[in-house]
Amino acid sequence: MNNQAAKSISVVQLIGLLLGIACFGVVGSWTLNRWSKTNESTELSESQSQISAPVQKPLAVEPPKHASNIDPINSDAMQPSVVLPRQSFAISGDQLEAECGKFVERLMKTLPDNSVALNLAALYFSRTQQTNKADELWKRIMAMSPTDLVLYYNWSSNAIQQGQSDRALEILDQAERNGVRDPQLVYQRAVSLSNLGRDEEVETLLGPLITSSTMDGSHWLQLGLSQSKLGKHESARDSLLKARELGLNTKSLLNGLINCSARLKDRDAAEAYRRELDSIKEDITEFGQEQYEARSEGRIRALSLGILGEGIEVYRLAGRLNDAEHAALRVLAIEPNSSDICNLLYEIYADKKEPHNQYAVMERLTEIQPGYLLHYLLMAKAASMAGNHARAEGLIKLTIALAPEDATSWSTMAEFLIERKRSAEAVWYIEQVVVRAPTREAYMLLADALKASGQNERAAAAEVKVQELTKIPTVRAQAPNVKGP
Amino acid sequence: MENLAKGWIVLLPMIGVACSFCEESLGQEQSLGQEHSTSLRLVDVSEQSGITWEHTTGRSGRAHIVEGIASGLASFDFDRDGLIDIYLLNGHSLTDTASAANDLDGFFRNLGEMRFEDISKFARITGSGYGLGICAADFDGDGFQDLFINNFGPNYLYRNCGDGTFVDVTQQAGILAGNKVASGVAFADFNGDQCLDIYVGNYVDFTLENSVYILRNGRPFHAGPRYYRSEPDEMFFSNGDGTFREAGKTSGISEWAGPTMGLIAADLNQDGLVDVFTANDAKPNFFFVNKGSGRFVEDGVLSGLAFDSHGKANASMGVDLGDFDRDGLQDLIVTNYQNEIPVLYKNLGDGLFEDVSARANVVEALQPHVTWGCSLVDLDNNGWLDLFIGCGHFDDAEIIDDRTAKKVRDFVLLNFNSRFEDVSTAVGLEAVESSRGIAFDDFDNDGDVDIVVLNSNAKPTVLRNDLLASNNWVQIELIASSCNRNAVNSNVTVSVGTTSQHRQVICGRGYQSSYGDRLHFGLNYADSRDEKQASIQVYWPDKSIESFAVAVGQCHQIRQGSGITVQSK
Repeated sequence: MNNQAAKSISVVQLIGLLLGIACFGVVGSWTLNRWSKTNESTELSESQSQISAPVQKPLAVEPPKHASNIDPINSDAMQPSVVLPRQSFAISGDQLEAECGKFVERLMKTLPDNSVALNLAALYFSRTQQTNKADELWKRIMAMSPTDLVLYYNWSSNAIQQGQSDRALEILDQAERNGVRDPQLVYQRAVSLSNLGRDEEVETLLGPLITSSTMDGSHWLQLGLSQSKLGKHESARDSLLKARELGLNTKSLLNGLINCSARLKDRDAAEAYRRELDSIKEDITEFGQEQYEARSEGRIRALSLGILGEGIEVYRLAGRLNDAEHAALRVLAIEPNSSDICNLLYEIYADKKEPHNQYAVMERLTEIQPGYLLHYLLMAKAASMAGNHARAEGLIKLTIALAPEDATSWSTMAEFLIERKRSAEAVWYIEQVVVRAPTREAYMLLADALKASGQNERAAAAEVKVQELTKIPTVRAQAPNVKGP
Repeated sequence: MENLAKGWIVLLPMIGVACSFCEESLGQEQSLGQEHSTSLRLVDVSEQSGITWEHTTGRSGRAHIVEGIASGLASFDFDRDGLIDIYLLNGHSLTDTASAANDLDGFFRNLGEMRFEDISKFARITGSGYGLGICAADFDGDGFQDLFINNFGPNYLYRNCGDGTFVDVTQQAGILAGNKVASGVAFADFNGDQCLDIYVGNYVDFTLENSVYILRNGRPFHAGPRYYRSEPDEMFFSNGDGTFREAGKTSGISEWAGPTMGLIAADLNQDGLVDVFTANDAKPNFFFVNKGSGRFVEDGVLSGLAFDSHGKANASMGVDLGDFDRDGLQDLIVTNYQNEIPVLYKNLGDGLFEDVSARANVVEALQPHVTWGCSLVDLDNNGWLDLFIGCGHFDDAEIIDDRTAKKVRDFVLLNFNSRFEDVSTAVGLEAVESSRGIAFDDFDNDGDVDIVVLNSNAKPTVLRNDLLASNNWVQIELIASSCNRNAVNSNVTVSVGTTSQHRQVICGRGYQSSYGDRLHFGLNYADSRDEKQASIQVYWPDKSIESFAVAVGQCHQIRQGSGITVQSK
């Protein structure tokens, strides 16, 4: 049975998928547009937001030697109303499991008509092998929201993982009858069919998708494995190699390539893939040695904290911010170093419009992940929102000092100064951006700032540069036509 | 060729009666779907069998890893009376050494008609240790099958004295293996000298001192093999005089350490040399390919036997061999841990195998359970090898998983043209226990295969096969002229009408068990109704080939040299 292929989408992932936001990507998704949400409105040109748009991932630098290199806050405005734990509150796996069970029951009671909450509860029941409860819940969700993609994905995935591929097919048929169509459901169907030995149908199902952009690595892998089972070893090898091209490099893939090569009597290739397989580090997580233990401490902790973490986001999205805050603080009491939960808590305080608490959470994150520049920038943002602009400025300067070659911090300072109507001061910072990242957007920002500070000649020069950089991609795009017949 | 002992011959006319009765009883067949039906009935005769012995793991309350994996069993005709007897391994208390002496293995002499007599004390096999794996083989070629018992602790080689008693010859035979956590064991001629060598499986480096103790909600749970270091297996080559020499290093076997559980020694790549497959717990399986002269190369990954079709290294438990699709090549069935379906590896030839579990419909209903003893065995005599799979957890799984339990029902999957169908309830399988080793043999000599299941911490389940179908059968016991008297690893082809079936004599199989020395061939009614005789071709271990014609519906003892020579050695 293909457990590996059929993984449940977490509730938060799906929410992110459906609403177009990245799961746990709240920090990374910050852009200057959000910066502009401060109380003081500022006119920003299009170019300004584009400069900071690349800040999608935490920018890591070598962490400082001390946990935090930030001075204490003196301003009253920055006094938080939250205290974040730094030491773990001891709790056994059994206690945590019981608490998680109660949390799920409360979540269901609090949000009885919220399909996202119920999906999370169903996932919890499924993961704790309370499969009948999970199944009942999924039926309830289907009655409530029959076009819920999360429902069908997780429900069918659960059925596959429980060794009920027949049942998974029934669920996927139901999804189709309800008009729910998604490449991931096609993949689930392929896995189910293969588990039932119906690999001919897998080929029929996935074959037409080969030219489609919806074929990702896992689709190609499944197609390859099914072709291999049908004795079509050459096609199988091609499909598996395609999966590899798309970035997949799993044990399953390599094992498939070994089998195909061996059956095509290409023993050298098989040996090479075997060596590659051997080089993949064994999938032993921190509780990996407990893999074959019926109920391991590591698994219970991971599952419980995962469910609690997702429950926080469910509460937040449902607007139950106090529930979300309480749950997040509870998890932090158990796992005080969880950056994911801190990020969630930051979002909760953003929703509650409590920048002083956002500041406190980000400050804590600089201790947990001291090398992440973005935390300092978000602290600066929180300080600014709380009205402590001096603190914000100081933090951006600190960020620049931590990673002077990173253009992002320089541009952030420039934006901050423009927002504070200090365009003349911003010019120097934008010049530093241009030195480090001479992009069209950087020159546009420079031109805007120079104009705003009355330096029109220099602004014109910057605009010429903008024009030059605008042309470059056009010329390059025409190149193939020039060489054409 | 000679008939078996008198008890057996007496029963033969009864079989004829049974068969003619069966033809009229077809109306009682259970419909299994649109196309198939079966008249197979597995009747639980445990209570009437006389086997009152009860297995124990010691129940220390600490969930030691060895307690979860105990024990295997052996079925063999130790006294050559034509009736197959049963030896059941036992654990014992790991904390109370005084009471440990009371937990003897169960040795039962077959009295016929599925009745057994306890001869444990008479046989003088005492102090045999904490039994995990066992194999019966006539290692000294004296005509009586001996026993190798693979323990947690010192292992034992018992020589069958031929008078109903056994004597410990471990030291004098030079078997200095042991004092480890043992697993399966197999006898085979690995170096081609026509004498039986020994392959001794080892599991992990567990001791009572390094035992990992896990408590969840106040209940002990077993720590898996990954908490311990895997131990290499051992190999002993026969000196031809009843003694052995260590051959782990020279054979290359000791270079590899996997937590071995079940294992099988057979010629799996059709090169005439005996290879070894070891079912490894939570690690890739090993396939030791015999390169001749007693040297082995591990080829699990490239052969396709290390992983399942998804590239997953399962927690493999038991293994059996048989030609499930009748293509002339011996396939393997490997049982696994919970959330892993038993894997059926189809032999593609040239030493390559393919996981065809899904295509052959090794049902997903097995997935929630831990699976142990297993066999590819023709239970309904239709000429296709069926699957019997023992199930059961070592933990109280029911409190943490609503799909399974510590004690569950076993599974019977009947083979209809290379595709299996779950008939467990239809054939009357009801016993709910935690199975471990299982033995498959015709214990009542009525022409179909019966089953004895060793249950963890419980009495064994004895299942009498009350097959009502009119299918015929033939059984073959081989006697070779070499010191490998039971012709281990000989290949036998039985042809009736237009169909042929192939078996290999295996010594050590299933879940750390030993059974099936007498080869059983079911003969489909449609193929055999007009046939009174079956053509037998025997490929002896010394490479000679002989052919025989034997009457169907009987068991035949075939001596090397008594048939028509097709090819001399």
